[in-house]
Amino acid sequence: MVLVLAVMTMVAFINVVTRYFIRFSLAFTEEIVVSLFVWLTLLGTAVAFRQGSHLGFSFLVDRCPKSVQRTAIWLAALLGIVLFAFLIYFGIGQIQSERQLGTTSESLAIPQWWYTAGIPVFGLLIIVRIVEGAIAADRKVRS
Amino acid sequence: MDSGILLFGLFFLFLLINVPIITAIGIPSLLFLWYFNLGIQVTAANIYANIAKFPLLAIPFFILAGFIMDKVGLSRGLVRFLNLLIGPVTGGLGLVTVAGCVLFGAISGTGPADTAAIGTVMIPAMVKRGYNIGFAAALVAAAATTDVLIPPSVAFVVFGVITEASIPRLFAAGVVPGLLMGLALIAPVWWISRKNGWGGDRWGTWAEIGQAAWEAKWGLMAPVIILGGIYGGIFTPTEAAVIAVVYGILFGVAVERNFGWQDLYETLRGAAVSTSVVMIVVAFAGLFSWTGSTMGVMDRVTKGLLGLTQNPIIILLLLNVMLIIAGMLLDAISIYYVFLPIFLPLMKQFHWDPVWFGVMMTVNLAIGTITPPVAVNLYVASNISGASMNEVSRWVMPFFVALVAALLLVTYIPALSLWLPDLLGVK
Repeated sequence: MVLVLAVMTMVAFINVVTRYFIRFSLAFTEEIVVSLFVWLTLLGTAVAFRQGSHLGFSFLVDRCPKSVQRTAIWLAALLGIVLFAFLIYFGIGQIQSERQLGTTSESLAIPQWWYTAGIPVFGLLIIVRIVEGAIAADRKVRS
Repeated sequence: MDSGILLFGLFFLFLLINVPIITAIGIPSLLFLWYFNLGIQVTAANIYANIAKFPLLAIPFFILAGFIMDKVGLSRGLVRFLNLLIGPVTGGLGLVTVAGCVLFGAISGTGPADTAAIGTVMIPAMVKRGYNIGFAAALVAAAATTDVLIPPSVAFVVFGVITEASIPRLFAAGVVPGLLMGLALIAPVWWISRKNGWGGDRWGTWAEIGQAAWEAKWGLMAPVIILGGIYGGIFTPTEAAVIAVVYGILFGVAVERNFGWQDLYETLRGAAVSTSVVMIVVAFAGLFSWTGSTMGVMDRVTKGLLGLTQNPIIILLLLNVMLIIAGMLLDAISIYYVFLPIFLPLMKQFHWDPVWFGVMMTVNLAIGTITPPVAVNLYVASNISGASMNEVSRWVMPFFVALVAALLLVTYIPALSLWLPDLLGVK
């Protein structure tokens, strides 16, 4: 994740420099940076699930008994898993159709599914982190 | 029952039981896409496309720039300079906080980043001078709302991407309203400080002020480079954000000599997670927005609003009340995606300028960052200061009232927003 953001920043900076000084815009950098951006978002989402730092409305639940809090934690985790399981499923469907149609990316003309592959791969990671995050939150409530 | 009520109702229900916003907004969207056969197969492509937009790239870079500027202590120089300039008057440190947040707002793109950068310096300083800790924390949170309006601004980037309004024009339009919000805060600061006898340090001599200004020059230069670059037509907002990152790193490495590999790693990591928390909301709230529009729910809500009244003044008031309430429960990004499909037809019907409308909505959502229970700025300020959320929430009330007064001015006097971009001739 750190590496992805570092690479994005460097590539984007190089593009500013080249565009400004040699008046030559490297169009393919945009494609790379934008695609890495999607990966970055998914990777960071996984970390944020583990840390429990996704935005939410904890006001009511925090004032409920512990049993309710624990139920809410696991219900939220379950819904999260369902959501990303669907995303993985449709992501794989997307990859299959891109491979069949031989879709290639706009400027680098590499197979589009290389980029799309990030969705199922990192989606799986997100599901793992959702479970870990729920276990950690559950432990915190019980103690 | 109207399917729209079910769509929104399910979202709201999940929200109440502390399901993360992305899940709470994503599950109903999927359910309805499937049930009404609206093309659930494209979900992955939709999510991908919502994130993979070039203008949105300004977000990670501005967030990273904010993390770096905070780490290298660019805010300390600014605060020292302001303190010598205006510190000793009644409520002086409070005024320094307001001015500091406004200035740092011209470097950073989000309110919580501003709260953290100025708060870590000013809250201890105010507490040391006898200011109440709840007051100090609430004030920093309230003053940092100006950051959302003062360019650069992540919120304007998202608004611009959704409505296709010009982002540089939005940036310029936010300046005067942002300053106005800062000015509005002066009254409660002065009044409360006078009642409690809170002041500041001694006056700085001109030599000291000059020296502090010179020492703060790198901090003061940052907004000049970022904004000058955008309005000089040199950079796009995304490029300016990249330049801000590089500027911050150079400042840390070459001037302050306090930025090493470990710091680089930590700021990259922090910025990556913060960015993702915003962007995944963009992705799923975008899906929700698309689902609602495709189902025709958003149109029906618009028609319902117009059924209540056709008077634009009252409609604007209604919209603001809706947004204030939404701001208590949701973050700004979700609100843009959920509400803009409802508001866009109204903008067309009443011939509202999208840039002015964006500024009005953004002022409102900036206020949403200090209205509990969901209030990111208060949360950050409470964490930094150690004051409880309850205490901070109590003290924030007078600032909330002042900011709402500024909101009303921005709502009913469009010239406040549009004057500067017109003057600069920003398209």
